[in-house]
Amino acid sequence: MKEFVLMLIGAALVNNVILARFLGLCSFMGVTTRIDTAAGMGLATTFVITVSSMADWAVQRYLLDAYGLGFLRTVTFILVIASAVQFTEMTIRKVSPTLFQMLGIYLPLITTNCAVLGVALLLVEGHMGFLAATLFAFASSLGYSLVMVIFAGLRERLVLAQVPRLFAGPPIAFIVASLLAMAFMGFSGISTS
Amino acid sequence: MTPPIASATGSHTIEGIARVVRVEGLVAWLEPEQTTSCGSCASAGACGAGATGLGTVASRIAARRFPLDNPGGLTVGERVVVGVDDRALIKAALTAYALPLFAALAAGGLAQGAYGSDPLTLVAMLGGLGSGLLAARAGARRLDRRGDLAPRFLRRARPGETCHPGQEET
Amino acid sequence: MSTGQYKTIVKDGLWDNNGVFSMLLGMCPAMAMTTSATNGFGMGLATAVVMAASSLLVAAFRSRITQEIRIPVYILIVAAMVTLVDLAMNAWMHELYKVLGLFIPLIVSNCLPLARLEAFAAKSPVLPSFLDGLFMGLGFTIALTVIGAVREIIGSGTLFADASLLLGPAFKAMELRLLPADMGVLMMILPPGGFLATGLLVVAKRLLDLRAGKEIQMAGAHGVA
Repeated sequence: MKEFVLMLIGAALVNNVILARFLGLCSFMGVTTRIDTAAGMGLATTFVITVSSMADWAVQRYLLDAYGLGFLRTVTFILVIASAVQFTEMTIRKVSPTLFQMLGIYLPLITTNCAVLGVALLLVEGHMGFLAATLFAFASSLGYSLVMVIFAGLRERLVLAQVPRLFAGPPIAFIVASLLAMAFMGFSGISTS
Repeated sequence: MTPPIASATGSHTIEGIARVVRVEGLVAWLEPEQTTSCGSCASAGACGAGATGLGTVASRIAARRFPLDNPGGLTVGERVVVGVDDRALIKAALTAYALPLFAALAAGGLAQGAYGSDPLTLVAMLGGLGSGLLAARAGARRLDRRGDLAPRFLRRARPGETCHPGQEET
Repeated sequence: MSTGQYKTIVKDGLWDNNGVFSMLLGMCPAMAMTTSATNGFGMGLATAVVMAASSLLVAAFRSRITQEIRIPVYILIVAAMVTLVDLAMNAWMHELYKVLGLFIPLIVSNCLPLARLEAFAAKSPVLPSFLDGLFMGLGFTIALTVIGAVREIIGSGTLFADASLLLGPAFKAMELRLLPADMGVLMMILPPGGFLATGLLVVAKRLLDLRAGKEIQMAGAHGVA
């Protein structure tokens, strides 16, 4: 049990999807100008990553492994992810059109978010059981959301600072991100491996 | 989008720009102008989100039309600024996403603990997801009734106003 | 197309509209796979092959691809090309394949190929699209190699270490040691160094653009004052 919990903390913080594995950087830079958009994107991505990881695990086990089609993994996984995003859109619309109004814009971009495909590929490499794989995906995406919100908070403060014109926008954001990555390196003491 | 505006209650109002596309008596139908979540306005870059969007339902702007009570005699083609409570967004996202996920994970955890078999856990998770989504629908209806989620009319947009202050289009 | 237009395609792809430094796309591999110049070079080349091939295919079929299904079709084409490159590298460049690992399949979700498909290959004839894909990919390779070189030199003092291992014995001559090993700043080859190096190199490109009298491209600067 203890190793399990440590694995989850590792997935969320130690090997953070954004700051350690460098996945999902396009959205990291693009959506974090305000805390609320970062939070919305983070929650939406959490949902999509968890659901599509569940589907990807099943596809890997019952389709690719069973019929020796491992080489088709990239193509099938991306199809599964695109379908998961469509599924999410349709269900949110069914659940509440008003919620869809507010949350709909984040969804299409999640299809090409490297974090979704990356987490799916990682959990296939890990050869985990179904629940462990899903929790791994969930923990990784929580780590993603956490970092998105923290970074958005930092960038909101950054707006008030006087940044030299050459550094305005992405460069200063990258430098702040490197400091945040350094801070998160402090978690590596919890690593189990 | 513009930086948050603090109100007396301590919550912030997110402003967005929308265009009036249809007027039916006392209700005006608006289409949001921000088409990407990259943080830039309708002049999207390489994201691939445009008028037809990514071919998915959510990205077609027409699908995101919303009604607004027509107070000041709005006409078709006018651009207005609407506001949404930012707490409402978080509440909405949590209802829509967190509720189903937690239900799914709880169901899966219980199944794994009881039976320890992967296929059974899979089925249990799907069941949990389904019931979580139903709960989310109920939660969304409740939020709807309390009027938390609806955008409010703030003002008409100035001629060159875009989502970004200081980047007025000429 | 005239020679002038071809020259623009080449120049834009390689430097003026560089995928990483100007358009700020493809950040994930640009920071993850640049712990050394060789890794950056290998990653860039793999992406360049995928981009050239998929641009060619999309341009060839562009009249048949309708607006509604275009993004899924682009993604599928890129995924197919990525699978081919993945299998080829597994077979013929196994060491590099092991180092690049996850990031070869992740070329599918790299924003750069998709952006070029949408912005160029969907509307242009086959040869210009192929060249655009190729040279954008080569520009990407240059960017990744530069980031990798900067990180490697400051981080471990070498340049193109393991080139012979990863790219083939012919590249042995490229391996250099520029600084003693214990003078390296370890942080540069760890994740924070990736962010730092990329950020500073974007500033460097903006400086170069300014000196050349060009407008600074403030891509992605929206929302930050």
